[in-house]
Amino acid sequence: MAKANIKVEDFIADGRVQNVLQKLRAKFGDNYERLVVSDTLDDREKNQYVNLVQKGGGVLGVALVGYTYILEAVGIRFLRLAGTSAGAINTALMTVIDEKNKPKSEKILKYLCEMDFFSFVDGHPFARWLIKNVVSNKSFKKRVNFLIKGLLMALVGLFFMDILFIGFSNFYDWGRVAAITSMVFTGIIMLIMAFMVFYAVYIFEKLKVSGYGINPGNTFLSWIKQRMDENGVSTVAQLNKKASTIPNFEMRPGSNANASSLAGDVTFIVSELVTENKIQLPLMADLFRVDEQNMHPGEFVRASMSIPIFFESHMIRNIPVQEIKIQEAWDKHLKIDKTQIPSTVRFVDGGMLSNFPVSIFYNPKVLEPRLPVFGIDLDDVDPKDKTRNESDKWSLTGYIWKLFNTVRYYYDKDFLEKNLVFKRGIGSIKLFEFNWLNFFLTDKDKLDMFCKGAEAAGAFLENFDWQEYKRLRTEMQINFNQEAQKN
Amino acid sequence: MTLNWIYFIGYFNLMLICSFFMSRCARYFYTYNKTIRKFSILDLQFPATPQSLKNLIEGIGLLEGVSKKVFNALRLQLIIDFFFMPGAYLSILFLCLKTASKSGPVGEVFFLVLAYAQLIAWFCDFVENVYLLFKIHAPDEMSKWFFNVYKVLEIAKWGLSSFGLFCSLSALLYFWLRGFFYVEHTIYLLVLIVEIVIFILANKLMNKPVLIEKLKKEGLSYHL
Repeated sequence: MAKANIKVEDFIADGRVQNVLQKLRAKFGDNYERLVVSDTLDDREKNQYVNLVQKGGGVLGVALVGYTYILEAVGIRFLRLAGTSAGAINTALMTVIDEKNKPKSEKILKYLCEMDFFSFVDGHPFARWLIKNVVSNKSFKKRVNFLIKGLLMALVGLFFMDILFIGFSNFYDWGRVAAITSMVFTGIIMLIMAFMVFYAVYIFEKLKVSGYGINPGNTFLSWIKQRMDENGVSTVAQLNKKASTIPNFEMRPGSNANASSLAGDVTFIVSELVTENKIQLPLMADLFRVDEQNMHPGEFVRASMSIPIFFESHMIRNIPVQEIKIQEAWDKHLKIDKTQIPSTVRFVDGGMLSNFPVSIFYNPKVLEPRLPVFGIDLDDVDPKDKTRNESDKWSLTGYIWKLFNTVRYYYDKDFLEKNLVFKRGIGSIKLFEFNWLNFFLTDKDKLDMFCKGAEAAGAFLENFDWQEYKRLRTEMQINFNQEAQKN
Repeated sequence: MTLNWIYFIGYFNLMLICSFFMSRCARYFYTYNKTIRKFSILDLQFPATPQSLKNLIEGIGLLEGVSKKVFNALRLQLIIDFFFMPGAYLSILFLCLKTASKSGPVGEVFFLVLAYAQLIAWFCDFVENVYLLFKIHAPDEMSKWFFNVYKVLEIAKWGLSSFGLFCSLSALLYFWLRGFFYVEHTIYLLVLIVEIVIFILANKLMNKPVLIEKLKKEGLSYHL
C-alpha cells in the first residue's frame, strides 16, 4: 500500500468541512437534534436511517466520501445501499466496514489517503503514458499534432531535396554527397514513421486480444478484495450477512408505521453484454454459479467499474448451464430460456445502463415511506460549456460522447422524471473542474473533491424536508394506485 | 563485388525460410491471463513490466491439455531463431557493405560502421534468445536492473538492424536512380522479388492461424 502523504485529519479538519458542520449545527442544534430526515431510528444512538444510492463517475467518486462523511457526522446511517461504478466502490466499503450503526467514512478516508489511484491504470506502460498525457496535459494533443505534421513536412521536404540534389549530382561532386545524405535522412524519417505505424498496429492488436480494454483492472480487483477481506467479507454470504444485519429499530414518535419489516441489503449495478441486460449483484449472482454464496463480492465491484475501453471487461466463464438451479435462476431473473443461457458473461460498467440506480429502491407496495431514498449525484457538466448550444459544430469525439451520454443517462432520468419526489432526496456535487478519468489525482485534488462533497451534503441537508418528502411520496403512490385501478 | 550480392541473396533466403517456420510455430502461441489470449514473440521481446514476461510464461502452463504443445512451439521457434539471426543480420551486413563499396570516402566509413554494427545486433539477439530459452523453464521475475539491460539489448538489436537496413536501402535507391548499377546485376533483384513472393504465398497457404476452437478440440481447458 502506498505511503500516505495526506492524513484523515487533513480532510476532516479542513476549514470548508468544519464550516459545513458549523452551519448545520447553527440550524439544527449542537447535536443536530432538530434535523429530521427519516422516521426510522435505531434504539440506542437514535441515528436516523435512509436508503442511499451513489452515482458512478470514475475518480469523482472521492467526492462521495465527503458527502457521506457529513451525513454520518449529523447522525444519519444507511439501511439499504446501492451504487454503480465509483458509487459501487463506496457502497461496497460502506457495507463491509463495521456495523450499520457506526460511521464508516473515516475508515474509507484512510483507504483513500493510502490509495495510489494511478496504480489502477495497470495496462501497458505506453498506454499509461498516453492516458496520463491525454488526461492531464492540455497541450499534449497539440504537441502530437505538431510532431506528426512535422514528420510529414520533413518527409515532403526531403523528397523535394532528394530530387533536387540528384539533379545536381550529375554536375557537381557536392551534389552527389548531398543527394546520398538527403536520401539517407529520408530513409531515417521513413524508419521513424514505419516504427510509429508498426507500434500503433502492435498496440491495437494487443487491445483486440484483451477484449478492447486498455487496463486489466487486476490491481483494482486485488485492492478491493483486500479491503473486503480485512473487514471480514470474502464471500457473497458474508456480504449479505453484513448488509442485512441491522440494529433494533424504532419509529419516530408520532409515526404510525411499524419497523419490523425493515431489512438491509446492498446492490451493485453491472451491464452484461452477452445477454444485453442490467444485472443487480449480489442478488442475481445465482445466475452464474451453483455455489454463488462462495463467490468473492470484490468481483462484482470490479465488474461494476469496468469503464469500457479504459478497463478490460470482467468475465465470468464456465457457467454450469446444465444445472437446474442455474436454469431456474435465469428464468426467474431474466426470463431467459435454458437453451439460451450463455456459458460466459461479459460485464462492463453498470453506468452504461444505470449510472444512478435510484429506481431499485422504489417499492410500489409502500404507501407511506418510513425512510427516504437519498441519492448522491456527481455533476461534471460545465455550466459555461458553450458546445451545448453549438450542436452543429461538435467534433466526432464530442458527437460520440453525447450519444453515449444520452443513452446511459436516459434510463435513470426517465425514472426520475416520472417519479419527481425522488429528486427531493438527491444532492448534487458540482465537479466540472475535475476530469473523471484523471487517475493522477494530487492530494489537493482529493481534498478539494472531498470538500465539494461535504459542501453539497451540507446544502442538501439544509433544504431537505422529510415531512414534505413523505407527503409527496404518499400522494404519488395514491395517485398511481388510483390510476392503476382506473385502467 | 558480385560476391556481396550472392551472399546477400543467400542469407536473405535463409532468413525467409526461418521466418516461414517461425510463423508456423507462432500459430500455437496462446497463453492464459484472465482469458485465453494469443501472444507474439514481440510480447516476449518487449515485456511491459518485469512481471509480465513471468505472467505470460506462467499463463502458458495454465492451458491444461495443450501447454506442452505451446511450450514446444515456443522452444522450437527460439531454436529456429538461432538460424534466423545470421540470415537477418548478415544480409543487412552485406547490404551495407555493398552500399559502402559504392559510396565516397565518408559514406564508405559510415556504411562500414553500420555493416559491422550488425554483429552487435546479432550478439544482442543471441543473448536475448538464450535468456528466453532458460526463462521458459524457470519463469521467475526478472530484477529491475536486468529488465533495463534487457530493454537496452532489444533497442540495440532492433535499432541497429533497422537503421542499417533503411540507410543502405535509401542510399542504394540513390544509386539506382542515378543508374549506378550493372545491368547484369538486376538478376539479383529479380531473384529477391521471386523469393519474397514465394515466401508470402507459402505463408498465406500453409501458415493459416490455428483457431482456439481447434486447440480446444485437442483438449484445451484452463484453470480459473
